[in-house]
Amino acid sequence: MRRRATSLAVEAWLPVVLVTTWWFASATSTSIYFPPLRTILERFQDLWLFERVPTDVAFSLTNLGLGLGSGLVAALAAGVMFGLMPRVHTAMAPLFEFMRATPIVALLPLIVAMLGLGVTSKVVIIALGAFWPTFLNTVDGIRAVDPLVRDVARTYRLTPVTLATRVMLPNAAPQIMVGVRTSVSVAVVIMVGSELFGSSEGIGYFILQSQRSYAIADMWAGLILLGLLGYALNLLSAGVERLVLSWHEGRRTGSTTVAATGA
Amino acid sequence: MTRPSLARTVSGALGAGALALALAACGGGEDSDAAATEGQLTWSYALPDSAPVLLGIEEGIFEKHGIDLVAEEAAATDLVGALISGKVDLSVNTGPGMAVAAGQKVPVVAVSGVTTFEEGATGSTGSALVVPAGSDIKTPKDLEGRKVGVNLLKSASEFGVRQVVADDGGDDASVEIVEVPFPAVADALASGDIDAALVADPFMTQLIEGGAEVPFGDPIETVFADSPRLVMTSTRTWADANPDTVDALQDAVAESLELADEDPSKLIPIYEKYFKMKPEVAEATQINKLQAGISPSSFATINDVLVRYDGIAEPIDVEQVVAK
Amino acid sequence: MTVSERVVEGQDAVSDAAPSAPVPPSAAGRPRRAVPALASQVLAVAAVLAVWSWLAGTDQVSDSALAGSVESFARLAEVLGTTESWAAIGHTLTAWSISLVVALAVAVPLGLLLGRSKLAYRSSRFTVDFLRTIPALGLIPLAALVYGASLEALLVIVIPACIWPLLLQTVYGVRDTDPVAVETARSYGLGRWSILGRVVLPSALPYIATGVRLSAIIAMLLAISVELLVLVPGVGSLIAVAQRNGETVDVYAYTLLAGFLGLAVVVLFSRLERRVVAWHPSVRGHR
Repeated sequence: MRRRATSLAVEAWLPVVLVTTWWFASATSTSIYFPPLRTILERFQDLWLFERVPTDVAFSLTNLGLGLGSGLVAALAAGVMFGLMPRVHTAMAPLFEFMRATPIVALLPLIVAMLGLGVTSKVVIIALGAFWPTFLNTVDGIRAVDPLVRDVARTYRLTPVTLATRVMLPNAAPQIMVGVRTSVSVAVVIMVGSELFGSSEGIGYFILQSQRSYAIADMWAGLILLGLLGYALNLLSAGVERLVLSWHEGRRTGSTTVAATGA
Repeated sequence: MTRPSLARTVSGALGAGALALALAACGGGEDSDAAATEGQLTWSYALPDSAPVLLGIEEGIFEKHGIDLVAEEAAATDLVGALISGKVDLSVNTGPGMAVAAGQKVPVVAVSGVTTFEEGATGSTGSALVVPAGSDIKTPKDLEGRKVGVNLLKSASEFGVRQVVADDGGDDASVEIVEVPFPAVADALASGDIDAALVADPFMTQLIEGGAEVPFGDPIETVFADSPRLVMTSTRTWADANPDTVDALQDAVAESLELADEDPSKLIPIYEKYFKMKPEVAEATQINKLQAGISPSSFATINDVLVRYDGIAEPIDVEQVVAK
Repeated sequence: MTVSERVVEGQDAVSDAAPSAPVPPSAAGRPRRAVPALASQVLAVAAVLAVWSWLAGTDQVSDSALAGSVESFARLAEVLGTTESWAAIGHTLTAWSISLVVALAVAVPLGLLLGRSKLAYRSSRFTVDFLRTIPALGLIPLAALVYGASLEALLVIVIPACIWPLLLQTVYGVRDTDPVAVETARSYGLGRWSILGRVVLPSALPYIATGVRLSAIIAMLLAISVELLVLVPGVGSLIAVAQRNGETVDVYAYTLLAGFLGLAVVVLFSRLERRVVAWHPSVRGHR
């Protein structure tokens, strides 16, 4: 018990100090930009517990869920495909690199022009952002699968689908999960970006609109919500990763693939 | 398991503070660091309405009044930040924008008027409410229950549309207004995403050439009429500290507007140079009515409309938003 | 849990050119197959351009949404002849390099500290984890409000986003230092700073190189995005102005320019990373 308390104290003192400093340093603030933390938290309570949850928060999270989900599924499918076809992948590599290096936000207006203003555009752009990290890591992961494993699989004459789902994906799991984690954080960033352009709803829109109407405490409250959301999603994806990796470890005890040694 | 993760969540939440502190540390310096050399004033302009003032700079009118004005373009969605942080000495804003800012106690004042919401020498405001060809929307009341795109919500655009519907005896609350950036309007109208849109040039002209119709003109012009549209702004502190410069600026702006009024074609090269417009687009760009003075009554309509639509909680005092 | 997370991120980090990871077959075989590979790549690019051209030619997509590929590239060549675009490229590169240098100056020393000191690491863990998950673009309204459309607004958003990957990579690299090497150095009487400079830092270098690559590309993508959304002068603001004026071909030309800038960063820094990893003694032993 005491050890746990000490450990908690070590981990928590810095955030506590920072927030306390913020609280007292801002208490008498008259700056337009930096209202007292107290005011911000009051606005936070008014806005997000839970008045605007069904509108802005639900809107953002629905888009995020749909975009991330479809982006990841597409990335896994395409990743396996290109991972198993090295020549095709080599041919396409410059295009992939170019796409990955183009700022997704710059494509937003073009996608809006093509797909209209509905949620479709937002979901598509989130999916596009989420696609690349997982796709590239899946391709790499699949291509790095031990040639011995491939040979064994070949002698068993597995169908391509079985080969992909039973052999390739599980073996490439650690690297794929790295991509997935990156995809999740990219997706959140793109979700916010998509709401800064031609949006009438969403957390990003709320923050922008608060800024436009100089409701600065509201804007800060929105930012805090965004931080909490990002953190929660990160915890969630870390949990999923741990689950996948422990299962992976269990499957290949004694394998040389180091996955979660530090846990 | 629950304990550590709870602890983590709690302390994580607390950690948000660090960011705030970092930003506070960076943004704390509100004292003016306006880079310019001694005597030079920096002005961040936005919207084509700024063109007559830019013309005045090019023609040496400001120089003649003893003002060395350097212009740089600002994003139309951020007209206050650079001013308050002292990045620039002068900025621009819209009349309704000034009212919203004053409502939130943002210490920004209008140094001089530039345009009003009325049409100018070129005979159009360069913006209008457009509907697809063959639309059954003929009067403002027809917008009831329809979806209308504007480029900025909670602004003169949204309020203007609601007000014309109300003035026409319609139920403005039933109009759904959504944010649509100008470049996306054509496709949104064609696909039926929206039923009508408030657009400005060059998109308005493009849409009309493509067959779109203008059923009842420009709602913003109808509603806000002689209210100030674009004004030149400074912080309250700066205006109070530099009364002579404010006088000189007002004179220089007024003279620039006269020049532009006499020959609006002089603005075309300005559009090309300062707004990177193609010649044919610059040629077709319209300018609103030019007016340097801001009369005490000019915020009456803005007050009425913004209070009605919750843009501001209570009417603002004109003294509060005008330098003098 | 967080530790395991870091470990895996470290793994990712090196996976592209990892000493211990299996070398991807294509990389090994590249020299021999160089010509056919290049030919197939040219073919693939040509095919995509052709599809793009065809799509733009049909009525499937409206002209305001899709400019033709030939027109877009022609316009790109045209704008590259103007001083205006080179000035914009200069602005973007300036913002990008300032971000990267500041991030390096902050993240590497901090990473060395957090990597060497358990206490410092555990104390800062929550804060770092929380801050790095705040979506960078969400800060745009705040930054624009405080700084207007200026370089500072851009840096306030881009620098923190560049710090996180570099910091985590450095921490992981330091923690991965061979304890035996550190002990040996200590038994030879090397001081704390000498150990840091002669043993720990060189050992962490491949990880830091990966962090630099990640940060470099993040800096470029974010810098252009912020320029676009806040109208900070640069390649991004050229896209924004073209959009505002309804110049679809210009929008495509400048978007291509942004893509090529990003690609240049990716290619350059992957090379750099490979260099550092190849130079690294522990790796030389491996090959």
